[in-house]
Amino acid sequence: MKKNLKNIRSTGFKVPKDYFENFEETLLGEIKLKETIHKSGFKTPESYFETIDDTVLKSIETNSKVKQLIPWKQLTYISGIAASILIIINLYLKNSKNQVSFDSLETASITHYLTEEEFNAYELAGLFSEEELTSDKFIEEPIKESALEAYLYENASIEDLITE
Amino acid sequence: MTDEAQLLELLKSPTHKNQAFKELLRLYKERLYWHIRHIVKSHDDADDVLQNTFIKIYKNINAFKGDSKLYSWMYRIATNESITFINNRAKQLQISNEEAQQLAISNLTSDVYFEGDAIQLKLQKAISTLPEKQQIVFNMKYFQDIKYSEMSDILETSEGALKASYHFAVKKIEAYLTNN
Repeated sequence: MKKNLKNIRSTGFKVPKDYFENFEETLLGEIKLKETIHKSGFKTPESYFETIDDTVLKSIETNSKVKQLIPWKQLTYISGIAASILIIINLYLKNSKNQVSFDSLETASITHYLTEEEFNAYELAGLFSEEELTSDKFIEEPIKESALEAYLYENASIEDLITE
Repeated sequence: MTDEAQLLELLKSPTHKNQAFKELLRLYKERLYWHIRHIVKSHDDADDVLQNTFIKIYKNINAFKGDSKLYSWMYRIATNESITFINNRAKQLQISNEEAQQLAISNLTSDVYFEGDAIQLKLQKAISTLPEKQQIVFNMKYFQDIKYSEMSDILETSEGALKASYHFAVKKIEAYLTNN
């Protein structure tokens, strides 16, 4: 035991890299900032916190009452009618020759939908296979030089075109 | 009646729910208000979001499984409601979330419930330049002095990451205040 203890020279504790440098920086930074500004400047109307309880409780009460406006019996009738309408629409769509497919949608509509829904690049990439993503021949028809020129003229700024 | 487990039990009991909810309101309304206010900036918006937050808490309390603390769960709802509010406002005005925040800050100059001077307004502008999560971390630590351990539970992020986030936020804000 004594022999072992002699061999243990360090505690084994360590600190993250640059801990003491960052500690000083963080602490001094915060102190300096708090010396300059220590309050946000926001305030509330007088007695706001005394009245908010009642306002919230009233909102909950109103919400619950709204829910009870349609009794269960009426709901059954309404859902029955809604189901019938759905069946009729489904039957109509099945028989209709003008079925909606991706081919019948305009590219502009799809682009608009994708922009509106705020898909990011990663989500869009998920729709393609790895092969499709790495392929550099994903456009079947070559782009005409005049079209490319017109696009750059319309959309690019001089900063985009200047490379380092 | 401040013991969280006991309060939760009462909140889930049909006979005591309303009384317990009043206690919950008393305990947390101010803390949640300030948390929301620092995100949405205007009092009227904070009032709307606070009410929605408590309505959601009341409606969903039975679904709360107790995986985290009740306090953290409520803060999470308040955070999500505030972010959703900003997103909706941005969509409504057809502008980006950052632009919606800039707008909220520029409205502070005429806000009767903002008594900050030029430097406090500049601090708000500096905060708005930070990424969304860094803003939340900064506000929680700087103005509300919430412990990292509690913040970690609320934001479901490690304490180390939160400390780093706060450190970067302070540095960026200092740089902004110096350069502007």
